[in-house]
Amino acid sequence: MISAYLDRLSAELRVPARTRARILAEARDHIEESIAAGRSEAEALAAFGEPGLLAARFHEELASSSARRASAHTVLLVAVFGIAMTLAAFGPANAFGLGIVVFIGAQLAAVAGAIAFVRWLRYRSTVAVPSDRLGDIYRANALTAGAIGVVALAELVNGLGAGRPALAVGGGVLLAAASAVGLRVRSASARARVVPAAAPDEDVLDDVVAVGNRYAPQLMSAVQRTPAWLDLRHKPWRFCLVFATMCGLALAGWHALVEAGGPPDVSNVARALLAGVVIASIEAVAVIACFAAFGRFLGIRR
Amino acid sequence: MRPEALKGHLDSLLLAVLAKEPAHGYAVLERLRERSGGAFDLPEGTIYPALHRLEEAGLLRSSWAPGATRRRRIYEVTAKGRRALSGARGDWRTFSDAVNAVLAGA
Repeated sequence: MISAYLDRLSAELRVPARTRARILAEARDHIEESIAAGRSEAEALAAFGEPGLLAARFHEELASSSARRASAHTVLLVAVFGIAMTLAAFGPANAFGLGIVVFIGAQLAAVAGAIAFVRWLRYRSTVAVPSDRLGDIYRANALTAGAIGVVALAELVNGLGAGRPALAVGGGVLLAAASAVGLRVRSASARARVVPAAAPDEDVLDDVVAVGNRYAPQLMSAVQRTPAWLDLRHKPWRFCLVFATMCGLALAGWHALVEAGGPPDVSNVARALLAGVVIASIEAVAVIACFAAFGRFLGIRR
Repeated sequence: MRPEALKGHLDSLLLAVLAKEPAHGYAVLERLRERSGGAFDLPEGTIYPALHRLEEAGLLRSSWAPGATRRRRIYEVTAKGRRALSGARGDWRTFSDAVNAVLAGA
């Protein structure tokens, strides 16, 4: 009877072999101890619980801890990526085609990485990651690793083509790291698939608010006193327009102050303004396009 | 008491019953039952996912008992677990004082 019960539990479990062996050994020990204390086999098995229910609890725990670990690896990858991109920015500019890939890929990685980072902060010390957020977490991690992988590949190709060995080696190392994290995320996400989950109703701003409440409660209480129309939670397209405008203005400002060599003189103001408007518009359209393509995937909009 | 009522408190309860001395899963459950006067009577298998979670979080460590007649996993609280337990006790005191104050005034 005990063996049949353990066989059923084993059949229900979708966990690595080592974890399965440990769970079954502990279950056997517990049930036999229970019988030694005076229960019948049937009573001991009933008290231990229904195998399907127990397996589901283990799946939730495993999915939760796997999500946290995968997120930690992604955050580490983003940090390495940030350092690498900062160093690469001091070198010569990329060829145009590769430059576009790096430019868009790096921004996508930055946004997806920031979302992965916020979710990691939110859930890293919670008892359990809610099952309806596992998909959001894994998708942000996967997109981050993918975008970093694409940028790393472009830098590797660029380094080889332009005879810049340091860039090629850096790109190769980053590509290997992004691939390793991507594979890790993929195998961990498979554990989440056996956990039943309702459709999530929180978006990324809910994550930001939760993190703010935990790490900067005074700041958040000040933020919550702002007018209601500034609350962009669950208003994804309004949030997108604000974010796209900010990105456009930031890029136009950066171009005017850094790339164009400082504030324009009086004779060039009109030309500089036009350049700023064009750059800001292109960036804003690119952000909106990326939001349309990846917003739902990343859990920014539902 | 319904098992759902323990949700959110099970981790602290497990740390508390293991704080005095290490134990295997069945003994943990027996201690929980004894110390609660039988009030905490949850599906027994459900403590194992919680024990694994606490170990994963570094609050417990475990090892196979040497010389046991069957394979037996022994759990003990780590230093991090003791700190977490101390924090949980403080939080619970604050929470229960507040609830008592509200209920007493009703």
